[in-house]
Amino acid sequence: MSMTTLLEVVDLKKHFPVRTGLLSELKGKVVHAVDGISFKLETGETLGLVGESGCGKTTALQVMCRLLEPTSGSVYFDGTNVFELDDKGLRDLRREMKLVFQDPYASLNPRRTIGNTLCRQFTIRGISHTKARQEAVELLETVGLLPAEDFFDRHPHELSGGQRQRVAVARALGFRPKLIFADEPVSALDMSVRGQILSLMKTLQESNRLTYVFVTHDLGVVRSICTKIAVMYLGKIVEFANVDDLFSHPQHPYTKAIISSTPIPDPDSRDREQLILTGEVPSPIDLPLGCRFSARCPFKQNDCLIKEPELLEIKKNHLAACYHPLN
Amino acid sequence: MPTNKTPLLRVEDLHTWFYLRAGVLKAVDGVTLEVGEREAVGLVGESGCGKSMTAFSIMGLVPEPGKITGGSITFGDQCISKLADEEMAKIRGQDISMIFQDPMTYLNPVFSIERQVTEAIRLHQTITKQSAAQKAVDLLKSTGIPEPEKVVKYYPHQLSGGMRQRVLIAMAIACNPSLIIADEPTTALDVTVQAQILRLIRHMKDELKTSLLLITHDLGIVAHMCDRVYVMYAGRIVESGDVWQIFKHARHPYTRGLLECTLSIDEFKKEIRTIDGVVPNLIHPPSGCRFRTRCTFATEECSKEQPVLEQVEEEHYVACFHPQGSE
Repeated sequence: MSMTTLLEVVDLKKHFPVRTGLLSELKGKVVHAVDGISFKLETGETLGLVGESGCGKTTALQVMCRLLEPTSGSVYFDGTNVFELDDKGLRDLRREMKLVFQDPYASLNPRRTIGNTLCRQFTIRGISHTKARQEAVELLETVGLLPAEDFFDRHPHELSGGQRQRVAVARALGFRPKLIFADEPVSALDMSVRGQILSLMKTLQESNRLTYVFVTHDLGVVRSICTKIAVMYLGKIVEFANVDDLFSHPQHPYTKAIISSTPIPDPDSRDREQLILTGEVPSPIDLPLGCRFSARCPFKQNDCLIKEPELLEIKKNHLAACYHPLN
Repeated sequence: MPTNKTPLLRVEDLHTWFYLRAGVLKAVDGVTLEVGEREAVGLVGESGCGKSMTAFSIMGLVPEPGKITGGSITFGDQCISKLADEEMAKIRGQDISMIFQDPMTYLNPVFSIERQVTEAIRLHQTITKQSAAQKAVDLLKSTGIPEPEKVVKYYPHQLSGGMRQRVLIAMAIACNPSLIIADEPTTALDVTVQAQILRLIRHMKDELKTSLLLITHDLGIVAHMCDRVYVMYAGRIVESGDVWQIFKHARHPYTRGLLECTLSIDEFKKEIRTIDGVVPNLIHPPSGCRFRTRCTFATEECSKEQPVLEQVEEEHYVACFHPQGSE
């Protein structure tokens, strides 16, 4: 696999002003949803963006594909800054960068047939109906919805959750994109179906040289499909590494905590040592002065409270933002 | 273990059916299970398999248009499935209490925490308002809520998800019940908070010497928490046994399939296994074994007759004509 950078994110920030009453003490404050994230992703890789709810992972994804405008920072896709594109450029970009959402019940229009949903991206770009239909049928075949002609005329309510998510994946494959962003693509599905979608996405990746960015909270999913992981906490990446390194040698205490808090389906692992954090994720409005994890960190020391640690290379290809990495 | 003593809870051949316009939905269709004194029992299955309805049936809370149409539920030496509503109300909360998945749905948003917790206490105990209020503070404190004196004055929306679940646990243990039913108690929570709540539930169970019936779809949580496990599929129990038997020597193809397609953080699976097909429609379930439509070992016999639970080892029961792994 050649090492070409497909996606590069540089100091990306997205702050939301707090909407509130005139006299509220929150007036003029901002939510630091994404607070300066940077990483590079090569073609053919799968990045897992993980973290607890409210850590900014979904916002980060939405800004990266420019569904939201950033507060500052840049995103380079294949060398072009996504935020400098005009409308025409953005339309072209949308062919190469696609999205799969969490809830296949919400992401498919209930009034359109599956065929209509799939054809639309072609017809609105001026492709003839016959050709669009042909493409759509092909897409249905690619994702294993057979016989495709049968599914073409059905409505979403006639499909199971897993089948709907296959349709969502099929839609994302139109125009042979290079990059697919997937926001919790399997968390609405039952575990027996979850694997079907993940292995489909894996097969498609191999046959089409796709690059994925997966937003998920499920570390089991990450382990099975991702090559790289970025762990987010309160709007920042606290650790970035290859999947095996991250699971075998987590450097950041937060990473260690989420790994050891995830239950393992094996009663033998009951007595494994667990790092259980106290408290919950604090508000992203008033951030602490030093390290943003310090309030929950069992290993914090005085220097953690003064200046925020930067994301630095601790070992080869293993970055962490911590003054006292675990090793 | 359980079978040689009289169990605390015994559900026998329970049928809970829903009379819908489209037909009769057999949500629970012949479930037999037992929970012994101080035992932690897991009930696992995918969504729609009837595990929550089993719990609601035990609590006497089957929603319309559902009805318990057959079988019996014995708690201690009392048959509770045919009790009048007011009789059942005395048991509910006092002897059997329940922790729900989404605490916000079960906490009333317009009443303070104090009012709701004291209500749970005063419903079953004759004590003054003041001492109930004091007890509420003590209960909140025992569930690890910081500054309980302050928190009792709060309303549910002022608390985080983890805190709300702690309040619900406090209400569940208010009257020292002998059985706690927890229905997906941590599904709505983040993984670090989930670990805290699971630890709390385990601690409370040991402290108060209660039994626990834990309903979940997460095999990791079962492996971590339970002594014995029931696996449910399409309204029926397909396998039961102690946690080691189920996780190490599962015999039913469904249980084995579930274990195989569970994604663990513990190991990288090169090939993601799945169970083909979808959960059957419970209005018109397949004849014979309900899993046969998805089972690779199904034969003609499976479509003719419904397999019943048969003992294969001490405490290990399987409902299958072709149990696997019998070397």
